[in-house]
Amino acid sequence: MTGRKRLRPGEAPRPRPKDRQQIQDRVRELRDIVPNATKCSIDALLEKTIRHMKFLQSVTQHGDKWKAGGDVKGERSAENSSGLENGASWAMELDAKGSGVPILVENLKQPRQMLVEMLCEERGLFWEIADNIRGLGLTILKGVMESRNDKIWARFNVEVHAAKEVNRLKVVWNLTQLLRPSGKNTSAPSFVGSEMSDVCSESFGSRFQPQVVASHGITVSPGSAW
Amino acid sequence: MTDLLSLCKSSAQADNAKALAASKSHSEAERRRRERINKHLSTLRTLLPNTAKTDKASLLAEVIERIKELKQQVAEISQFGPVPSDADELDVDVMESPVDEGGKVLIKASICCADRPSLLTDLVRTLKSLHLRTVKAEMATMEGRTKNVFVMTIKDDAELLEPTLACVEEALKSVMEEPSSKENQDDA
Repeated sequence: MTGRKRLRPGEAPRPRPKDRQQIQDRVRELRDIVPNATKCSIDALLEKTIRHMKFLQSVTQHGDKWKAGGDVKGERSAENSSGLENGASWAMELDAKGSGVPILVENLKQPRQMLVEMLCEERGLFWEIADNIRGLGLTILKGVMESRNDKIWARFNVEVHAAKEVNRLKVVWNLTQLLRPSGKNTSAPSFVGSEMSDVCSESFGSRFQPQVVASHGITVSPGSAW
Repeated sequence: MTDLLSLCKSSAQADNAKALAASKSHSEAERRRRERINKHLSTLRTLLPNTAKTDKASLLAEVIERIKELKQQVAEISQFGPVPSDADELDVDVMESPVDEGGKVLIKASICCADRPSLLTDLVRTLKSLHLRTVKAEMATMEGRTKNVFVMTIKDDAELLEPTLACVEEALKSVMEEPSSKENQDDA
C-alpha cells in the first residue's frame, strides 16, 4: 500500500524512513539540552522544550538591559545631594558613638524599580536585609554584597508590583527595625534627604517622629560610617 | 443446548465489543496524543520566525540550534552576575581558605530554585541554626526563578561544632524543596 493518505491542511507530510532516523537523533539531542527531559514522552518533551525556549528568551531580554549601560546599578542620577531628581530617601541611624548605619532607598529610571543600599559590615546581615525587603512584597531583581572603601554594603535592585503601593520611606523604616535589638523601639532614626515634605506628610502612626537633621544634603559627622 | 450456544455467542460478542471499545479508546488516545504533538510543533514553528521548512527533522534541528544560541547568550550575561535557570540546582563545596580569614573553612554554595516569599526567611533560619555567617553574596531573580550564590564561614560563637559539608548541603536542599515548589516535578 503505497497510496498517500489525503493530508489535512496544516499537517506536515509523514516522514520517510531516512528522515525518521534523523528525527530520532534530534529527539535524543533535545532530551540532552532540555532540563529534566530524559525519560518523558514525546509530547511532554516538546512541551518542556517550548517552556525552556521561552524562559531562555526572556532571560536574554532581561540580560540585554544589564549589558546595555554596564547598568548594574540601574539608571542612577548623579550622586550629589540636590541631584536626587528621581527621588531618594536616606536614613542614618545614629547611635551613641555618633557613627551610623546608612540606609538608602532611591527610585530608578526603570518603572517600579528602586535601589536599596545598606551598610552591613561584619554582622553579615545580607540575607536578613534581603528577607526584610522581600517581606514587604518587593521582588529582588539583583542583590550583591560588596565592599566599597573598605566598608561592606548590601545593594539591591528591587521591583514593586503594580498592585502594591510601597513607598521608599516604608522601606527605609522597615530596614531600621533590623538594627534594633528585637523588641525595643528606642529613638527614631534621623532622616535626612531631599524630600522633607514627604517625610512630614507620610503618616506612620504616632511612634514615628522624624527628626530633621538638615534641610539639604547629608549630615556627616566626623568619624561616621560614611 | 441452544441456551448454551447462545450464551457462548453472546459472551463472544461481549468480548468483541469490549475489544472494539478498547481499541477505539486507544486510538482515540493516540489521536489526541498526535494532536498534542502537532500543536507543540506548530507552537515551536511560531517561536522560530525564520523557518521556511515544514518537515519535522528540520524544525527540530532549528529548535536545537536556537536553544544552543540562547544558552550562549545567557552564558555571556552570567559574567555580570548569577542568572537563574529553569531547573533546580544546588552546589555546595569548600573553598581554599585565604589567609586573612584566619584559616577558617570557607564554604561556597549556589542555590537555584523557584522564588517564593518564605525562601529568604527559611535561608536565614537555616544559616543561623548551622552557625554560619555569610561573607560574600550575590542573588538574582528572573521569571519567578531565583539564584543565590554565597560564601559562608563558621561563626565565632559556634564553639567546636562545625557542620559537615553534607550537613550544609542537606540543610540547603530542604530550604529549596518547600511544598510550594512541588509543581516542578513532572511525571514521565
